[in-house]
Amino acid sequence: MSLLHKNTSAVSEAVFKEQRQLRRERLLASPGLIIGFAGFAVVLALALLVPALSDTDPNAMVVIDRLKPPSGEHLLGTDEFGRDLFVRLMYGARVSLWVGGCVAVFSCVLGVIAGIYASYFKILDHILMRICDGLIAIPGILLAIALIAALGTSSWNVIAALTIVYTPSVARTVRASAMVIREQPYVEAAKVQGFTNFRILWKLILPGVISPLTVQASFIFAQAIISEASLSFLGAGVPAPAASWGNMLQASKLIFSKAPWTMICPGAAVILCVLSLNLLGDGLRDFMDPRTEGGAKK
Amino acid sequence: MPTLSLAVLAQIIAVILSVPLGILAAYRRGTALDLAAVSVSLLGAALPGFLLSMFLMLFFCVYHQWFPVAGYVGLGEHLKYLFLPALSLGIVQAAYITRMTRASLLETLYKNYIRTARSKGLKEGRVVMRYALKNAAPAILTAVGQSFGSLITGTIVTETLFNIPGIGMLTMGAINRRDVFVIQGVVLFVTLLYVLVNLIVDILYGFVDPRLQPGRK
Repeated sequence: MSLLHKNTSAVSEAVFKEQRQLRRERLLASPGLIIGFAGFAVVLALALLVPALSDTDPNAMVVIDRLKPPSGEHLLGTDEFGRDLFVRLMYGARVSLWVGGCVAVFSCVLGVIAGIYASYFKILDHILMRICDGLIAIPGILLAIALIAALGTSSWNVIAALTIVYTPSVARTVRASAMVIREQPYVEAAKVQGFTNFRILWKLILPGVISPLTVQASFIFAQAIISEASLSFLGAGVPAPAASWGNMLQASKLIFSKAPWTMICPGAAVILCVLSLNLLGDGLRDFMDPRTEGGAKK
Repeated sequence: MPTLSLAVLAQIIAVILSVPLGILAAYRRGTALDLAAVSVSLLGAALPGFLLSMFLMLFFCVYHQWFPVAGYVGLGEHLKYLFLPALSLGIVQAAYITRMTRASLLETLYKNYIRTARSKGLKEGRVVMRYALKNAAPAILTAVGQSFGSLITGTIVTETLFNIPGIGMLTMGAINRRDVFVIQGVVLFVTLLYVLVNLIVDILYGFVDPRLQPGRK
């Protein structure tokens, strides 16, 4: 008996080892994941380290130096008030990442709560899903603009508006995966054993929902950065003197024919950040679900 | 009317660009062409629409002066003014549709009936166009429908940038004046349009794929 037990544990250890090996190989085989992670890490690091790296105030105006092209003194040039674009770009990264991160976290938390309870209780399902249907039917940016018009512009209101926009899609994804897990034999077994609903939901169903959720969180992060930039561009985002990528693009709208660097730099920053987040999301999806293309099939 | 013509033109550009690209990318999977198509569509997904508009303006209007920078005239001169905004909206949508086309076509290309068609000796073009594309069509249609929805919202930003007096400009003006009734009206109208487009897509499914016709067993 003990011999058999020993054997099975040895076998399972070997299987685990092989799985770990496979996982490492898959990780190395997906360049997108690594590139995405590296790109995002660079942006994050610059955003966090900027107060240490430079003592230039992002809002300090030097009128003599206005609209200077990129040079040694101002790495990426200056804008129409003579503010250093490189420093503003880094401070803008803080705003964009803060808004994007908050939106991703909040909408995931709310979406998980709504989705998981909706998957388990029939009446709640009907109510919550109809609310989600209604919210999804309204185009995202428009809903955010309408909310901000009602609430007033501030970075917290932007976060709140975008969270409301993205929560329904999270709730739907969570509900869809939770519905599958709910039918599994082990959940039924837990029910028979008299587990409380709370424990079944958070201990048994939640772990199965985490992997699609992480993937969606990275996409929402990216989408939120784009939306924040669009909102600020329209003047409905983070209010003006603060540096944000959308604000910088809005300011460059009138002057970019004379000073194209005021547009190209924040634009490139948005693209870099969103692209790496998208690559990260794609890579994570392939990594967690090898059945999709780009994974082990090749 | 300006918004509608902008959205329709953008959608036409998007479909013309994306569907052939998606088909080619799926058919020549793993080649440089596929890689290029995938990276372009990734880049397109990372671009906010207004950013692309600004890049296009900088290149076509400021450096080369091929197109007017902004503005809107009646239907005659229309196209010249409408081309750039429609292009910038279309490219962003094309990125999404290309990805969906490629993914759904790749799935069908490995099905058994495709192998059967090939072994019957049918020409490659016929196999891809008639057999594979027809079965991939519902997924592509879904993508087109969804992109039309986001196009309508995309016009808000594009219109303000290119100074086109459409629904987008109306919305922005209303927001700046805190004119809540107009905002409510626009949200209601656009949502209605959105639902309507989804309905049309649902009806079109039946034509593209007769198996999906309601009432047919």
